Amino acid sequence: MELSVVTVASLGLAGLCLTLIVRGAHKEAAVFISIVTSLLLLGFALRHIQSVFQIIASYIQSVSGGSFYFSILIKVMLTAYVADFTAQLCKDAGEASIASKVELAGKAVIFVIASPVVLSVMELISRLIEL
Amino acid sequence: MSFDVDIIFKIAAIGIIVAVLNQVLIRAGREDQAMMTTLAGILVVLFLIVQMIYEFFETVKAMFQF
Repeated sequence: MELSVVTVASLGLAGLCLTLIVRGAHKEAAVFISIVTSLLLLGFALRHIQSVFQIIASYIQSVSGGSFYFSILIKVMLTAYVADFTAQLCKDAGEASIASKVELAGKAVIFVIASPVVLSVMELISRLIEL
Repeated sequence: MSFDVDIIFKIAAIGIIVAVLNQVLIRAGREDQAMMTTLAGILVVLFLIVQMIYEFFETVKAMFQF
């Protein structure tokens, strides 16, 4: 599917209409359709972003040693996307408690992934102070 | 399995068919079979969804290689 906002919008609207139609007949199917629609949309977006990130990654490796931070940046971003994706789906289905727990766990994962960066900054500051 | 837009319509169709079958079976007085049909419909849709989630997570994992 070519990358354009029309594809994204039509996919979302199709999912919305079908969810409304099926909600009357079969409640679970409505939740399934919203899950599948958001899976399609996010997968569609990620597949297209992947090629751009490959270009950026190759460029950063050649220019400077910053690829360590770049990979952390991507990991944090992806974790945030997937955690938010799951949390929103849980809220849609009416399970607000599960949604909040997923968000909390997502934040914990992001914190763990980003901790090396914080530590290196702390180390830098402490070295500066000793000067 | 490459997933496209038609999968949404497939799931909607399954949902509606299961609902209609459910009503028909209930009117015919076979409540237990109606429950079985609903469960079967949900299972079929779940298989599709699990496969899609697996493929989605493969894409995410591929992006974690950076």
